[in-house]
Order: sequence, then structure tokens, then C-alpha cells
Amino acid sequence: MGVTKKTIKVLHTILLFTLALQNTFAEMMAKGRTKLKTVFNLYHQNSNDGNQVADNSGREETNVIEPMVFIEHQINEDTAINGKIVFDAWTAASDTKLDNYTGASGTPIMGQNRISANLGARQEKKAGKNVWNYGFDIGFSSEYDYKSLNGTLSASRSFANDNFTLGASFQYYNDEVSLFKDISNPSAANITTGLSRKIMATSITASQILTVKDIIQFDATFARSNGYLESTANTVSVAGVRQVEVLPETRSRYALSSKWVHGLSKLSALNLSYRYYWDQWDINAHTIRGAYLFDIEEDESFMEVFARIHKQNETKYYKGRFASAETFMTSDSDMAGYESYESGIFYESTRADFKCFGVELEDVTWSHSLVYSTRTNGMRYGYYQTGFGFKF
Amino acid sequence: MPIKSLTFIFLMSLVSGCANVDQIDRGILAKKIMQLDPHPEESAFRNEVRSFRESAIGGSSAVGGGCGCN
Repeated sequence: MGVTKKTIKVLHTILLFTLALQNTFAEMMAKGRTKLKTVFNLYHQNSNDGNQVADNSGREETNVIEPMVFIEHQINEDTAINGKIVFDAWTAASDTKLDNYTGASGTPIMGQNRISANLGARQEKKAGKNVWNYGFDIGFSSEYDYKSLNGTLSASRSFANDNFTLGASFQYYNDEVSLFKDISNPSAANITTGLSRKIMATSITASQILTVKDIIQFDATFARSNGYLESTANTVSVAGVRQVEVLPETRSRYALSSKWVHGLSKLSALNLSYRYYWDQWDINAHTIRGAYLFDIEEDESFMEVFARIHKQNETKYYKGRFASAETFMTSDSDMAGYESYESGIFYESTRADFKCFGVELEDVTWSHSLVYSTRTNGMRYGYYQTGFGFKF
Repeated sequence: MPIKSLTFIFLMSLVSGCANVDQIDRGILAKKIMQLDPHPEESAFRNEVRSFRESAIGGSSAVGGGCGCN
């Protein structure tokens, strides 16, 4: 019942937000064109090997339903505003085993939810045959153990008659996390709210058209996190006794990635990418992805088939079991050493324009996607996505 | 580290000197299957999942903030 009331409250908030957005931009929206896309995500993960799970069950089951709404409105030729609303509802086996908020240890799996929204604008300015693009985005996110206020600034400029583009972006997250500090008596454990976590990330991206059928992109990312970097439900076993995980207050993260899109013909293409990642906690990771895309009906519908391999080593703070207490300790299976194999399929088709409540909908697209991933440390996850987009 | 940075800078300078492709010749490049990300809205969720389920970030806008998704 509590969950139902909460869900209604969240949906009410979404409705109010949408109405406010509509009123605010009503006049502007009449002057231009609007693109709207909804994506409905259905996610499931499972594992019986989660060392960090509080009750020693190892169960890492999670089910997530996440509808997303993207809207972009072109105010004039050069300027667009955009917004995104995301609503998550999920059940998680590990979250509810040690949680005074949603129930004492051992209560049935219960629902939780999150809402987040972003609003931004971007502008394009011609510079001869080249183009300047710059924009900003502000957002918030709220769930029972996490709150976030965040912002993004981005800019890019093309050179050499729009053949080479150099871009930079800066993101800042002013987040608050809730953590259990003492779990010596799990059924009476209290969550501590309002603990600071700040994340600053910056990236530089360069893309180059090589030939009429080739384009490449390079990206360098640096991110630094400060504050409480532990996760709410994560625990470790120290000489057989459950304790909360302890992680350093800073984490610097670096990544270099590249992507190459090569047209095999007018109707098919390869999309290949590689990323190297390393961080202050001694995790190194290699990720490679290959996708084959082909038109089913030229410019009307296409399909993508892809495979992705991710390999990482464990952080220096990771152990499945600790013999004695250490300064920093985690058993988070996401920070273990493993290989991950992901494959998936994506299909999008363009539908005929039609009228809905008197509004002419154009460029109507409908997509379906199925992704499955399995890791060598026991985690498996899969998700289905369906998207519906149009312009009006 | 310096070697990686130098390699990156070298690659960047290499591609900046490539031959130009005129706008009129970009018919194939304009197709959806030729985009660097042909489905950005779906990718937003995919990248979010990966940034939380894996320790690595980079190459997308998902950097592990804004969600207690662990």
C-alpha cells in the first residue's frame, strides 16, 4: 500500500513537471518543431555469488522497470531546448535484507523507485563552413537512499569544412548518499542520510570523417569522485562477521576510447569500438565492441547485431572474505576481476505519418532491443527496450 | 601513462590532417546505420547500466553519478 501511494505521488510529480514544462514553453513550442521519444526499459539481473549481500544469501536479483521520456524542441534554426524524465521502479533482493527504511532484515522483497529529470538547451553557430555547438543541462534525481543535483556544460567546433570536430564537456554531480554505519545488530540498523558524494567528470572528444564511408572518433575521459563512495547495501565478511564496506574518499578514473564506423556498402556498416580504463583503485579494464548494422528497407528500417567483451581486474580493496579488518574493504562483485560477455540485437522501423488527437505526427519510429550479458563471476543480466518516437 | 597520452595526441594530430569529404558526398555518412551512435536514447539506459554494473566508465556521458544504482 505504501509503495502504491509512493508511486502515485511520483506519477503526480511527473504530471506536474510535464504541465509546468508545457506552460513554460507553450509559446515557444508553437513556433517550431518538437521531437518526442519514449523508451521503456525492462531489466533483470540475477546471481547467487554476491559476496557483499548482507544476509549471506549471495542473491543479487534485481528487476527494474524504467520508462524514459526525451523531448527536444527546436525554437529556431539555431537553438533547441531539451528535457528528459526518467522513472525507475525496482525490486532488489539485497536492498531489503538490511534496511530499516523498507523493512527489517529478512522482510519480503519490496518495491522502490527513483525519479530524475533533466532540462537543457543547445545552440549552433555557423563559422564559415564550420559549426560551433554549445549547450548546458541541469538535472536532479531522487530515491530513498540517493539524491542528486547535477549539471553539464558542453561545446564543440568543427574544422576543415565540417570534417573534423573537436568537443569538450564538463559534468558535475552534487550527490547525497545514505549508508548504514553500524550493522552489528542488523535488524536494528539505521541508515544515515545526507552523506556527501561529489563527482566531477570532463571529456574531450574528436571525430574525423576519413572517407565517404568512414568516420572515426577518439575520446578521453577523466572523472574524480569525492566523499562517501560506498554503496548502501554493500557489506563484507570479516572473520565471519558482517561489517559495512569501507572505501577511500577519493577515486580518480581515466579512460581512452576510440570508435570506427565503416560502411561496407550503401546498406550495411560496421561499428567497432575499444576502450581502455584505469583508476586510482588499481582497476584496469579493456572493453571491445563490434556491431553489424544493415538496412532492411532502405532508410525505413534497420537492424543492429552486436557483441561486447569487457575484461577487468579486481580493485586492490577487494576480497571475497576478509580474515581481519583492513583500512579499506569491499566484496562488491562489480569491483571483482571478471570478464563480461554481452550480445544484443536492435531493430528500428519508420512508420507512416498519422494524426493523433488532431496533431500530425511525422517521422514516426518504433524500436525494439534485446540485450543479454553474462559475467565470469556469476552475474547475469538482460534487458528489453522498446522505443516510440515522432516529430510534431 | 605518458606513453598513452602521447599515443592519443599522436592519433589526434594524425586524423586532423585527413583529406576532406565535401558535404555533397556525405550521403552514406548521413544514414542512420553510419552514425557513431545510431540509437542515442536507448544508449542512455545501456551506458547507465554498464557504468554501474562494471567498474569502468568512459566513452559515454554516464560517469556513475546521479543514481544509487549499485
